[in-house]
Amino acid sequence: MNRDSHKVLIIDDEHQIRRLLRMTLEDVDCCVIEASDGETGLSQIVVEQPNLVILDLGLPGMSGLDVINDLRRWSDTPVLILSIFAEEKNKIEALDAGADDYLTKPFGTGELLARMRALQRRIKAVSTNLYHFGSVEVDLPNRRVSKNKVLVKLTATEFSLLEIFIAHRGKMLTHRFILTTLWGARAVMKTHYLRTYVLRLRRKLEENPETPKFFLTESGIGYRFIPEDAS
Amino acid sequence: MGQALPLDYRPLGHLYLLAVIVISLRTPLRYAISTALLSAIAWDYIFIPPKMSFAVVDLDGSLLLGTYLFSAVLGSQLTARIQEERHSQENREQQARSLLDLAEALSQAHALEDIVKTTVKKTDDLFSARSALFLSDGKGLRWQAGSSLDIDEKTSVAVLREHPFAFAPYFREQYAYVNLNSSGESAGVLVLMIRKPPSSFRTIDQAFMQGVAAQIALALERERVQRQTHREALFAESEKMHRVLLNSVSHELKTPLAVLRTAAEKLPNSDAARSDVLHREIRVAMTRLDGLVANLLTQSRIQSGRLEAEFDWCDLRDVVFAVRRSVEPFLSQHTLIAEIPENFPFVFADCHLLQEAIYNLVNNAMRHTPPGSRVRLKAWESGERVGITVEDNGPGLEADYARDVFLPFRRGKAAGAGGVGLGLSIVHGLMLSQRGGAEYTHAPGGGAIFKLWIPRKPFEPLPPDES
Repeated sequence: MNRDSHKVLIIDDEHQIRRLLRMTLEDVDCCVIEASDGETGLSQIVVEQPNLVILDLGLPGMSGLDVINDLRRWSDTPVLILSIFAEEKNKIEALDAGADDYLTKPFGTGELLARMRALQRRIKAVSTNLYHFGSVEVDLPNRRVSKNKVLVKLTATEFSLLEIFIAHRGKMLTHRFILTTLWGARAVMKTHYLRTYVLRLRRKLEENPETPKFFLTESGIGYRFIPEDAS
Repeated sequence: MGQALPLDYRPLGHLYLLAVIVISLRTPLRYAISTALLSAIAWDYIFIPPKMSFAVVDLDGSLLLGTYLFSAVLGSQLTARIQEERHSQENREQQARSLLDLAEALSQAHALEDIVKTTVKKTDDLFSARSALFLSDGKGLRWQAGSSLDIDEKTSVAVLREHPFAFAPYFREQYAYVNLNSSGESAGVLVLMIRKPPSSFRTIDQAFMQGVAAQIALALERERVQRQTHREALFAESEKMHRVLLNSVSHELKTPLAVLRTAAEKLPNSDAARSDVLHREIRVAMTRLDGLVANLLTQSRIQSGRLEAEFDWCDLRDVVFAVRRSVEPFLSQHTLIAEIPENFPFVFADCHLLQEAIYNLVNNAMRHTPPGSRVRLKAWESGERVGITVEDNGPGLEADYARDVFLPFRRGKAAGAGGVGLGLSIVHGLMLSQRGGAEYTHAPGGGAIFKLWIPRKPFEPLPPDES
């Protein structure tokens, strides 16, 4: 990552957290901007046009959720949420409102950088018709999938789910989002549909379905597709 | 018929007298007097010559007539007195029985609510009145139960002040107020709305009312003492917990903090090898702090009842995988084996809480078993339950600890340093909040078996899909 392509805004009221995050991010050559509250953060986004926003959910005054709701009306800038233990509900709300991923404090810096990389990859749209991850090749226009050069038969819904994952790779997808996209608003509570299809995708596409590498579950929240692609 | 009789009319008069006496012993006064008069007339008409006509009664006859009347009155009075005696005897017996009955009913009512209900119901029946019970709550009287009579707390307080004598009923308008005062302190007031005028309450009824009031006051006093004892016991228990918590938590917090401080101080002048060691120490201390804080938060959420499960379909494979990922860094000396049948159904639970419960058990097993031990996770279904078993081949739990293994702040004797004894109570709380449970058994070959379960729920079929 270089300074020009990676400008990161940190919105957190804790001075110490901001300082340590700055240190971590500058080590990987990011350009770091800071804001200690939501209003300042939003105006910084307008002025500085960062590539990524790291946002604390528990801000004083304007909450993190308010910031996302406001931001998503006029910007697609990826947002990574920082939250504390026992805030599952707020976390899901924030993700449904358009945040891209979350981390629970305290988190490791390795984890933080991995999430940032995944979000960075997502920004680049899939430019070719063929998409690769692991030993899997997906032919998007022809809706064909092969693993180790062997054709894998997917049902229509399985393929649609895979498409959603590829389109939003690296992003934390909530159950609500996937269920409504695939089966409509009435399926919002039917998480067992989703569990079934993810299990099928894993069994067909993962090397080891019991310890998945690509289709990751986030308990009680949703799924994240982490491709090991070079692009 | 008179002519056929050889007797004089006077002895026959005695027969009439006998009849009057017999009748007067059996009937009220007015019948006895009527009988006496009728007898006199009949005697005069039939027997006194000239027979079958009214004759002028002579002195003898008048005397006998007077005797008739006198006997009738006397006999009736006697009967009335005996009857009244018997009646009051019966009444006393009835009241004694009622008191006994009340005492028994009250002795079976343990909670205040039951005592109050029993009291009102019984007094309604006993005095065929409508009653209401006001109890003192330290600040004043509060209506507790019974009819909403047309009196309020203020009136009762005023009456209580005017008439502080325990148990003796005090009549005012159509109400009878009874002060329930057993140990120098008034527990409250029983108010009865009576249908008959207060003057008709005789001494015996008032005594009965006092007896009833004494029973009620006794029951209230007993309940108060019980409550206080219970509160004191609870307080002592929470005091103990508080002390244990404070001791162990402060120990648990201070140890990693001390490590962090020392490591931070030593880092600047350490060579590469030593900084490696220090970094490792910092990471361990951090994990320990993190775990402790998470457990304390979860425990406080469980205890305050704020932990609400978000039910959702969970794939146990996902849950087990997440647990494996979080314990992996510390797994070097243990083996974690997971056995989930190929077609194992999804379970309806809070995936997050389920994961936390299993994580706590696996973490526990790793901490309390010697290196080289294995921890086995097994998914199972049985009847109306589905669940997962966490089994290790370590030493298991001591018999006396195994009984209350799920209570907070209890620790096995062999638990060693570290930990505050929250893990298992959290596991239990997490499972309860998902309408399930946790059980502990000894493994046949030593080792501990923890069984977590939740109710099974069938899921509806998936919508059609084209290939």
